[in-house]
Amino acid sequence: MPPVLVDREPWLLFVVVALTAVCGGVAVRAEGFRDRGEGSVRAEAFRRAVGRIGWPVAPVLVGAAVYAAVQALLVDLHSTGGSGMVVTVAGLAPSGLLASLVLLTGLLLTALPPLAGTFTGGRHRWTLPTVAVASAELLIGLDPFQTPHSRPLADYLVGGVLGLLLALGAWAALLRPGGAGATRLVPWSLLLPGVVATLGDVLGLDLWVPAPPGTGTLLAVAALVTGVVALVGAGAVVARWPGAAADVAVLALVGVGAYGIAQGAFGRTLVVVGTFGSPRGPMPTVPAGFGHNAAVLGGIQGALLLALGLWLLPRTVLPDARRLWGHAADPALTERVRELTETRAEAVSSAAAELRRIERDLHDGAQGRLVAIGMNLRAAEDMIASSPHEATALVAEARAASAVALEELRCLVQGICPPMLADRGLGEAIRALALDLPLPCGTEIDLPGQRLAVPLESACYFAVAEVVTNAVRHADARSLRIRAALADGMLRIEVTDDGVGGADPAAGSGLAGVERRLAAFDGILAVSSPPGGPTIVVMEVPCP
Amino acid sequence: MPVGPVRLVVAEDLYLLREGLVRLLKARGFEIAAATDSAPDLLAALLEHRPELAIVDIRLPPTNTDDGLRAALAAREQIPGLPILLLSQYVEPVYAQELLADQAGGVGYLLKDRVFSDDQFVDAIRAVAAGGTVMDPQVVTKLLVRRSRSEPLLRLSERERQVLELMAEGRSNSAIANRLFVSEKAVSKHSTSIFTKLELAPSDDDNRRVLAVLAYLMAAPKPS
Repeated sequence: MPPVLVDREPWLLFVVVALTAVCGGVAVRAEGFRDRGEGSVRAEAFRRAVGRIGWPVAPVLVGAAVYAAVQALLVDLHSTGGSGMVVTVAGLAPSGLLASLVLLTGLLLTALPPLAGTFTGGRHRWTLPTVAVASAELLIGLDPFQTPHSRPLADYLVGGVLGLLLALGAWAALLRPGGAGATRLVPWSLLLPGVVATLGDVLGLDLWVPAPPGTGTLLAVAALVTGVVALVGAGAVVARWPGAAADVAVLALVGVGAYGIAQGAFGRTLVVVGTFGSPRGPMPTVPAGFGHNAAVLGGIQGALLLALGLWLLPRTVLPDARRLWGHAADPALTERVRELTETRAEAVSSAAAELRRIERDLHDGAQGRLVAIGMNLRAAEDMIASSPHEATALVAEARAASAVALEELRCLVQGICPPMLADRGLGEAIRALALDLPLPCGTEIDLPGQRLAVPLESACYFAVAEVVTNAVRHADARSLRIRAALADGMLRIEVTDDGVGGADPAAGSGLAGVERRLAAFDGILAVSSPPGGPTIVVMEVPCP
Repeated sequence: MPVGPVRLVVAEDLYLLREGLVRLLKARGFEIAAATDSAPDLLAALLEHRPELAIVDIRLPPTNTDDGLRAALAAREQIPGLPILLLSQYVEPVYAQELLADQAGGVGYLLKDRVFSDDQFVDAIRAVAAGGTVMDPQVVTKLLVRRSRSEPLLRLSERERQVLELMAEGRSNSAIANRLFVSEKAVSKHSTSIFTKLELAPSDDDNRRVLAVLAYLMAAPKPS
């Protein structure tokens, strides 16, 4: 049988690089937001974006793993002993299968939002570094298809440096469990084996396949550095436009799949053949029969990728395209409309309830007293000539009733719109509120001179009042601190007390009401209140 | 206290209330130099008539916030010591604080309700016109709530607390004695004891005594 030269197929490698980058970028961004806390509006929006991109990426990664498994199985069937060759596909060498699976699992755990929190926080913090180190070790060190003495020195050097980097990253993550930098290192350390596996192969520098003749240590290291830089760039792009990156990845899958089928149909394959034995040996050739089988294999792989791509197409690219051409609603807008409908309904019903309360208070209070005053005065009018003493008593009674009515009205007004808020604005009203408390309350107010929008001021004031009342009534605090500042269009108010802690917005306290009230202004409420205190309540309201 | 007609400027934006005030004050023998309904008019009237006392509603046009207070304070800058009696529908210790800031005396801050009790109201007018200080009992109550957990106040006896409250409202020893049905001597004994416990410098001058007590109550409380 005449030997058939099998050509390399770099496209797929780029797809794998892109997918790795998608996972990595998303993971890094998700880590970053997690570090900055749960409370930010941007973090919330980003978590939603991660949710959208997370699930298309997952099947792609699973598909890639299956693809590698099929590959390994078929190659194993065809590569009878003594041929002196090993067949690899798309950077997923059969020898690297285990490592690839470990790597993909690690990436999945990092990138998928439902899992990410579980495995990067708390006592599972060690999981990711372990996965990273294990996969790197498997990629670099364990190679059952290779005889150890055949490996050039460059592989060991690069492998050694890489292993050291990974170990350092893992070590840093383990040593500083609270550190933001350490948690960010974790996904990056996961990416490194991917870099070696993919870019190394593109440049002919596979760690498990001997380098072509004339390749030196310098070139291998240069390839590694180039790979890292390229991935950082790709990660940044992906993190900025995760939706677009997912679309591109899906389109690439469809393209590569179709290309693979076409290649298979023309008797060519996506299979990459490398030699083992002497690194300076001749270019690899395979028997024609094997080439035929490899072409079939290439076709199968193409079909697999195409199917995966077509399955993902209506879930990623098509909705985006429809949105682009104005045929479908933007999901972000749909979500926003849903949110606004909800908060508007709450705002309207709470306003109506408030009006009912005011009406009831007026009816039972001031109104009733005014009627009584009128009656008293009418009676006094009749009696003034006949029995002036009794008339005087009635008039005095009327005056006392009017004083009580005034007091009731004053309380009502304080509850609707505190005069200090109406007169001087939010900052002064918060200061006055702090002064009126029966315990020391420091204030740090950094608000602009001009007044904020009246409804916003009112909502924020009553939110602060509710939080402060909670602290005084339930927290058994000795002192309080209120900070309010407006920066970058965000009004941020923080109330801290040194009480017993354990405040929970979900436990039916007034905090849930505060949250709803702020939601009408796109504001959010975050509570940190460990048992034993201190309790920190942060409110953030966009304030254009 | 001066006897005879005291010249007043009245600033109140509600017509009925303004007319009512003017009628009540005239009936009580005061002379009304001007009755205005906005902050700019008030300032002009104060500078023009230089009355012996201004009765000012805190909330006045044009912005209907605290324009009355601002105009009164502006006038007081130009006419130092100009006696001002603020009237308001609500009490806000911050406003009292601003009014007292210059420590010159001759200021009062009362709820509008106090007008009902015209003796008390007229006494307040005369006291402020004479350079005294008069605070609404509600202001004092609010200040005491604010300081309720501070150590020195907890050391006061119940009777001393009552005396402190009445002192902060701006009452003289004899008025306090009448109110509490005790002798003036007893009041002065309590007052000395209060000043010792609060670590304030004693003062025989009624007005300086009020200012010292109010300044003490308005200072930010420290944790006990």
